[in-house]
Amino acid sequence: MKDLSIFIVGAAGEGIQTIGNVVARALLQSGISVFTFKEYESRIRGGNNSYRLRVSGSNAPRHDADVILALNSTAAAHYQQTASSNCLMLGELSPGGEGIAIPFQTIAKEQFGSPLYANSIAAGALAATLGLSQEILENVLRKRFAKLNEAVLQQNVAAIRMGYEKVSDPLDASQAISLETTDRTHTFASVHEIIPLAAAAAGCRFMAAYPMSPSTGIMTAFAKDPELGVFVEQAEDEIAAINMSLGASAAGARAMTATSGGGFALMTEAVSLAGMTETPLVIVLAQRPGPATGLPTRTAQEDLTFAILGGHGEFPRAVLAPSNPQDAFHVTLRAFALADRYQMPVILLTDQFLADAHFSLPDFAISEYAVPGGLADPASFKTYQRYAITENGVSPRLALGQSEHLVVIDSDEHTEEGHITEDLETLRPAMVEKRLEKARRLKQEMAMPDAYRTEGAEIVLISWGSSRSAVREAVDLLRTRGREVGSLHFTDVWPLPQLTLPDRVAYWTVEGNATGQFGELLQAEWGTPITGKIGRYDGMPLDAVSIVSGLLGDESEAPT
Amino acid sequence: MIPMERYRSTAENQWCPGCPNFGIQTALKRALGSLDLEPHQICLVSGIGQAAKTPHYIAANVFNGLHGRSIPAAIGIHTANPGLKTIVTSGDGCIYGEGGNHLLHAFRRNPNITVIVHDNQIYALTKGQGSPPRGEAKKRDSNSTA
Repeated sequence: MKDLSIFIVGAAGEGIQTIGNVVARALLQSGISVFTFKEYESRIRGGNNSYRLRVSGSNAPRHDADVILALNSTAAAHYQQTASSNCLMLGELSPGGEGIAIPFQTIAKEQFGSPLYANSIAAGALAATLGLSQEILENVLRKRFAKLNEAVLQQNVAAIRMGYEKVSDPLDASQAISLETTDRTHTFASVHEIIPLAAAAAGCRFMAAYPMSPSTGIMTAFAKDPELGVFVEQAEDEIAAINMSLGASAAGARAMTATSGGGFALMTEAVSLAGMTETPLVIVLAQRPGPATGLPTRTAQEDLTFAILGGHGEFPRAVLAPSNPQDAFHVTLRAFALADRYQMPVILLTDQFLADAHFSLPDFAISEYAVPGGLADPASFKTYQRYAITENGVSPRLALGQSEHLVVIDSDEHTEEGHITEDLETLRPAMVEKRLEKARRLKQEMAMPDAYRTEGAEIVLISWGSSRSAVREAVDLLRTRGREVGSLHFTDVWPLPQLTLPDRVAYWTVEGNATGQFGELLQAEWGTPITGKIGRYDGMPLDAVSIVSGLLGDESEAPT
Repeated sequence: MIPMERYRSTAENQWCPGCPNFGIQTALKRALGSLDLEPHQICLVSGIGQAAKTPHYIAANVFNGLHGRSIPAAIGIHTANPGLKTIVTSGDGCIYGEGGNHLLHAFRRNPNITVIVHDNQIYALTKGQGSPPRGEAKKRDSNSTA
């Protein structure tokens, strides 16, 4: 099936997301897999923004468009530069622009008495262009706007029909796009929609956070869905958020928090507190470009080193970077399991791309997943010491108030009982060793990278987190050009598993940052020589085309 | 009424002789005893400073966290286990200074926790700097060394 990239472009507040969502759902109901993401400015109204759909291609972004549906002429002009060679422009065209001109606003006002119907006309026009069934689109609309009164709904359905008519009249048959419908069904979700579900499945019961793009959706998902059974508190700041979560965890509730780079900066003292007090906690760090405020609504992979090192002192932690919703479900369960098993902070490293991108996945059942309880049985102790020295460094954990055993938790260096100590000869070294023994054992169970088409590869692309689909697509593109290229994709980014990479292979890192942080890490940890690094740091997600041109340079333009 | 001995802690006390914290410690033990709260039914939460060592010197569950952050930790503990009597006991620098924002928001949230602020108007552990409730333009105490 044809790989098709569709951009719906317009100002913030104009409804590009609503149109995109309705069309995406109609595609899914037609059995067509769709991948969407949005890129937008940090403002509530205005600007140039796009909602992008990719049909029947990989679950990776494309930065060029085969169809552009424009809601205003400024946006049409702005996104003209993204048009592929046979791009069809549709809607409110820029002055002198070619394509199918449909003045949505004017028609809505003249025919329906309100500009509010422009979006339904636009959705109809786009669906008609894609050859989608009008009935399916209408059903999706009825479902989505079920709360509207019947008269308004009828008007919207009429507006959709108007959109269909406007396209079918002037459309040259050669411009019609025929998509093959199937009877497959898909789960359509973003990583940030899946993490709350997975957290609830893992037994998370407490979440405190402070709103910060692109992490906010995780907090609001819990608040919107009481069935998940997770207590949510919007804290006064990120410092309060993480300290509340640690308090809840110490008192026996599985807990998490979520933030972005700036908020994580505020949290780092408490990340260290989790390390010292050996309190389990899952932290979602949703990356966006920095430094400081950076580009608040854009994407990046700039906080890898920060996630690994943020926090004073030496203590174990795990950093896991999921790449798609299905993966994120299992990685989130694992994050809670590791946090409990090693009594430490675990960071889930996502980004704006994973927050907003929606993937079509084969349906998967969120049935009986469970993470074993991390608390010990109070009856098994005659006397209890929270920080008892053990062979594996892990002390049996009781929660505050769980039983008659007193639990003493301390941020100072402490005795086995949990009280402040300055015994430098015995207790301090023993406690440092205890914490680091956990780190040694943790390393043994970190997962190996995912190898893709590495057999006989002369060049191996090394990537992590959100770029998995884009890198795979780049490998496929390069293979079709006769290049012996494969990829190693990491989800477990810290600690790194024990692995010796074969030599006589050129390793290139592919990262959403400028300095090649993961490459530096591999050089330091494994001594892996890095031949080259491909970095994307313009705030947009990595895509196959930019990876190929990053690797081949000018050669990528050459005909194949 | 539970006798005060019931709250005797195993930790070695580090306060100076005559420290006013002893008075607060005694008053707190008496209050807990009069409420018939057994040590395991109590959680004492503190930040950092001399006052913040109080939980170590009373037999109870203890969460001695970060400087200024005792109130958020206590809110988390209280939410996860509302049956546990949660009491914050920490100094004026900790609660009014480093953690002032949390106190403000605790008023709005109004959780069922008790906050005891040991207000001596100085940072004793770092040798006598003024703390938030300190009056206007007072000279530092003559016995301060830093």
